[in-house]
Amino acid sequence: MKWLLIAMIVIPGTIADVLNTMGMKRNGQVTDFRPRALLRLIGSLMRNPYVVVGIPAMAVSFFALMGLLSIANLSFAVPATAFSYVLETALAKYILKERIGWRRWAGASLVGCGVLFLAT
Amino acid sequence: MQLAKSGRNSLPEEISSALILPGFVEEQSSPLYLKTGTVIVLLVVSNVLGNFSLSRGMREVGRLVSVSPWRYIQALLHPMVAIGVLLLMVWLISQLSLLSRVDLSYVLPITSVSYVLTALMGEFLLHERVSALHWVGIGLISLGVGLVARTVPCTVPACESAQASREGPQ
Repeated sequence: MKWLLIAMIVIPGTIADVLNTMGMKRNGQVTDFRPRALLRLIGSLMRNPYVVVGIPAMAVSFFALMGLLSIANLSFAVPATAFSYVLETALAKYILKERIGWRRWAGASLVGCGVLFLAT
Repeated sequence: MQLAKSGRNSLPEEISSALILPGFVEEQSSPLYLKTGTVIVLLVVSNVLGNFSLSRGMREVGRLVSVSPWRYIQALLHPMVAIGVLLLMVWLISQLSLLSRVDLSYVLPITSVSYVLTALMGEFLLHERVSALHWVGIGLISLGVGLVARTVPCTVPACESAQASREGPQ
């Protein structure tokens, strides 16, 4: 059950991150954090197809996390959600066309390993 | 007399320009600009505190693996869970605005600082023991974050074009 929930956290979570990045890059930089500007941002995001799919995927991931938190320790639950570092870095390179140098690869791998240690 | 007259003359001008351009007064108040670093701090803090209060709340709510949405709605009414959800909304907004400015492959490792802070909070506030292996994990994550922090935050053309068109919406 724990591991099923983790799959439900990681897979929709990964899809959500990639789609949200695509959507937000098309939205343009968010620079104004006044409440009115944020409301306007939410309005325009509701018409952004990437974010419209990305947020529900994130919600699936979130509710799976809530479920996991209710049956497992925080120190098991949270790190276990983070197997996806290297996977998402690869997706960022091939789908989002980000330029990823050795520092990013090494950093993502170290974080991934660190998270594995935290999950033990 | 002259001063009073000119003073009286300039006032209607301001009013009329405000009437002609709705939103004129609003544009005068400066936008609340947050630096990327500030957004990262906001994201990490809301993530850590959000997870903490959710974990606290869920522990009191009890087992929650259910198909029926009613159990989830009930859980959301618990104050600690509600605060946690509110903080995760702050997290969501900061995550999205961060993704609008920099690479996903930059955001993910950098914000993993929150795992380190979560583990430390688990140790000091939830009394979940941090083992030697956990400390190794914390060290590796910190090292990874340090490496990624030394890269250029945005490598895709979208950032530059968005920066150029900041004056008007696309």
